[in-house]
Amino acid sequence: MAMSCDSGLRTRHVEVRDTGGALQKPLVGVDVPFVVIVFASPDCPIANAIAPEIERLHKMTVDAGAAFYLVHARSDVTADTAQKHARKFAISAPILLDTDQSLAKELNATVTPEIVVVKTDQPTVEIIYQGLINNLYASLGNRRDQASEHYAREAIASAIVGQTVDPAYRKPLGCFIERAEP
Amino acid sequence: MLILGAIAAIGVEVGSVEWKHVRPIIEQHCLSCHHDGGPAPFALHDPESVALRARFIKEVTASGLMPPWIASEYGLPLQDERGLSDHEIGILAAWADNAHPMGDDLKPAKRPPESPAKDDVVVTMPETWTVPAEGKENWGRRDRDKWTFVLPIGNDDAIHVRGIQHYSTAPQVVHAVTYLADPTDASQWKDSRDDMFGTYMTGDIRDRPSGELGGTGVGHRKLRLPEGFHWDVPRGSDLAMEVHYRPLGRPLRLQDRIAFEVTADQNSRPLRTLISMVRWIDVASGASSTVEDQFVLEEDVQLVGITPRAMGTCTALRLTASLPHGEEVILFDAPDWDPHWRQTFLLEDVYELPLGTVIRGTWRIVNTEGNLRNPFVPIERLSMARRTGAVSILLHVAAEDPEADQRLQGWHRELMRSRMR
Ligand code: HEC
Repeated sequence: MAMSCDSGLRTRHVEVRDTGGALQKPLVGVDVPFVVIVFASPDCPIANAIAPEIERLHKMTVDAGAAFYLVHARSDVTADTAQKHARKFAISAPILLDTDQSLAKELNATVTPEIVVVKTDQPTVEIIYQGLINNLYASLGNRRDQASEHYAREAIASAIVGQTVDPAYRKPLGCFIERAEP
Repeated sequence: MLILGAIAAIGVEVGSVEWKHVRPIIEQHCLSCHHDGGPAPFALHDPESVALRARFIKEVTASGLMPPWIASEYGLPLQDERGLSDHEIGILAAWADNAHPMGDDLKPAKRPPESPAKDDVVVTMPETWTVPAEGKENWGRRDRDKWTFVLPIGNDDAIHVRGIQHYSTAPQVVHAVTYLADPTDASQWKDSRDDMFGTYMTGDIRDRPSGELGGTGVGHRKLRLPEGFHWDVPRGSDLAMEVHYRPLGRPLRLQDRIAFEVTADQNSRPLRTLISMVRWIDVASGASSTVEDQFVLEEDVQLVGITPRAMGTCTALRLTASLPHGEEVILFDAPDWDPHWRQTFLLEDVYELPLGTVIRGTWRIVNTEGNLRNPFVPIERLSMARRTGAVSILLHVAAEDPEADQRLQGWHRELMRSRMR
């Protein structure tokens, strides 16, 4: 537990504020086997289209005794905007405001929606799945009526039983997380 | 050398592109949709909201995704065409690449004023309908994010409609909408077959296609015919409206209003709908096919507008005319067809199609997984039929005089009948 970095030099002590103003360390995952992080945005149509799925993933994660966070990695998203958005889309997960994008940078998140499933019950931080949530979008601008492949559900199901996910990365598709200036 | 090229292409030094260079592009090409309360997911008025998406904007403009426009330049010139020049794309890219400098001029982008609508007759959906949060399986089919509503117009006399404006309570979910005026009980009957308001069936009435009264699309909710033309709405009509929607992740209340601008011009001529269509298509899973239709015009007509109708399994469509003296003309061409952005396309100038012209419609059907717009995943055999065409292109035309108009309608009825055989 003394280690703060894994072999990929990932620091697990990134601190991000939640909508109540409290500092959280989402990658520490106190007493939970894994943590699920979903990067979203209040006005990204691609992320919003799967809001019901995000809430289902949240339920699935919490029911398994793990932790779930919805993260806005944008400087202009306030606690108020984020809460309104969550109410509108019926998302009840805790929300983090990654205003300076430290968490997004740490996890190399590139777009919204993007999911990261992190195993936390070991000394190092291990990402067991990252990227695409499902195949609702075939490409930018090309949306199917329904998703038929549910990558995030499968990844969480694997995390629950302690299995690995293959592939562990699927290039996500959505609205770019524009990097704040370095 | 490459960098010099970039400077030359955009006419401004890459490093000196500021908000004031970007603003006019946004005003002219984006704000018709990306305004507060508009059909697009976010507004692009403030320089900060644009800067916040600079890289994304570079990406979607360079790829041609935005602004959306599905017609190529090979067809006849169309009203309200959209598109960016290479110069404009270059400016947006340079601004993004250079960390979007603002400069001193921070005036927000302003939407160009729209000409006021004339709402002479207004019909409203008699009930509200809730657009579901997510796409659903409908009757075993997965291409069906659509619903048809019947709105009584209750007009005591026939009206001549020159303009249609669609006001939506949920502009972000409503996509292509096509209209038809039904003086019979048929659409009411379709709607009354279950307890729900509206029906999953199409907005066609027998062999009359939804879209006879045109269609509106995203960011294009107003149709106004050129002077001297109208759509006929017989007395006591219902407005049948086929709405294609795209669920937004939360349920939304729909109670839309349609306004007609009526013309009193005695010399105005009615538009009739000719259909280029293939009634039945059958393409194996993983296969592609090009289907075609042709007919010969038996009357001189003037072409005013075009309404293409095909779903995402169709990747390209084209309408051509072989004129009697031998000339080949492309009337409409969508080489990268996307049903999401369809609408009625009104021609910039009315086009004469003389008697004897061969009208030919061509549709490319790609029933593979590589076709990213294929709504069917996993891919299955595509077999579908519609009396008004599994794929079709509607031609909105007018005949020279009332007699020719009668003949035109009689001839087209026969043509439709012969296609049933
Ligand atoms: C005809 C209306 C319309 C115009 C004009 C338009 N947009 Fe859009 N835009 C939309 C809609 C609707 C969406 C939501 C995604 C969708 O429906 O495919 C969108 C989405 C976007 C997105 C997010 C990408 C995505 O696929 O969701 C960006 C970025 C964008 N537009 C930028 C622009 C820019 C820049 C312009 C001008 C150069 C522009 N748009 C012009 C309607 C429009």
